[in-house]
Amino acid sequence: MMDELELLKKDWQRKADDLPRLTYNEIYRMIWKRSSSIVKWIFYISTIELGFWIVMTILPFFWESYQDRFEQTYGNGDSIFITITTIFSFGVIMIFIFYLFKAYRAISVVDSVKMLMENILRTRKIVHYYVIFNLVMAGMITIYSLYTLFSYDTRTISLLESIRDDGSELRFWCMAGLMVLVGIIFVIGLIWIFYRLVYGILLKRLYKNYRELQKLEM
Amino acid sequence: MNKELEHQFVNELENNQNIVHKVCTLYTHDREAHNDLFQEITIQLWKAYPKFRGDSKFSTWMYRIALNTAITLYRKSKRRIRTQDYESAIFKIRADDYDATEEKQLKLMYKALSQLGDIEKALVFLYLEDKNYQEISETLGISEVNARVKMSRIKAKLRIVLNP
Repeated sequence: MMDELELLKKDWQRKADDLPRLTYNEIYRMIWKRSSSIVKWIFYISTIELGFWIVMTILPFFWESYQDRFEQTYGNGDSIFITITTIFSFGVIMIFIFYLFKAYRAISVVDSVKMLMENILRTRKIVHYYVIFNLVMAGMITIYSLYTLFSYDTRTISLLESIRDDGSELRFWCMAGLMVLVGIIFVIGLIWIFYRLVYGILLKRLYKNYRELQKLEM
Repeated sequence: MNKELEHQFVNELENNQNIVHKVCTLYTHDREAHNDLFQEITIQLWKAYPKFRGDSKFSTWMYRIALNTAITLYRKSKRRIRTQDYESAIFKIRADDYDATEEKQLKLMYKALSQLGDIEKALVFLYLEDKNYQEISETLGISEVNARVKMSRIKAKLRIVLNP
């Protein structure tokens, strides 16, 4: 029996005559067109993501009310705490930017198909970690702020006392718990939708092909 | 200097454009998408060209970039309407060359080929282009053994398509 693929190969190679042919000028015009590769899209989105979290980190420092509240809450003696957290936040931002750009530079279209995919996925992972880091930080800061609010803020403490006197303490805590829960679900939901939308559309094919490649090696 | 590089590149691509057209044929379904992908591959080739040192042949280097662009980098435009007739037009068989059985077999095989996954397509493509398994495995980034195993599975699949 003749190898069917040999038949296909022969036909495939003969087909060169049927292919379209572009002229020198047509190709020349193409090299100046803008690329629309997914790497470019991922780069833009990552930059926006990183930028968003950097702004979120920096912005509060410029708000006067934030500075006042900070001093009110923690007192002047706690400036070491502020300095350390600030340095830590910026340090982390720098580390992430460094790794992200290192990962981007590693993306090379001349690599093997598998390597290229892995390098692209690696850049995604770095931004992913950065977002998780920020969410964890945001969560911790929220818990810490709530703790200080209930422990040191005189107005909150007097409010709590009046509630306790009122006898509706249980209802208050239930309501507060519910509000915090709804808030958390809302924020996580928004982020989840964002990721599903952006990366679902952008990376669906890449994940599918990467899985195909991985299956090949099993 | 830059002008010279441009000229050199466009010349090389013009002479080797068949490779890119074949990749476009394999991964797109209409003329507009074909041209779109061709353009993206050209841009990627041009961007990488200053680093091309000629350690490998221009065509070998092209296979990689063209496949990488088609499989991973290229973003299909959503607005496009898929047309089916283009596929059969580009995969058309010159009837005068073959007897009816061969023609029928080829048609079936091209149809089966168009239904393969993106990676499988790349494997078959390189095979049809007479690349050896070492080159195929290096281009895809898989082991030579796996490339052979997969290829024989695809062959078996095609055999089933032809002899149901």
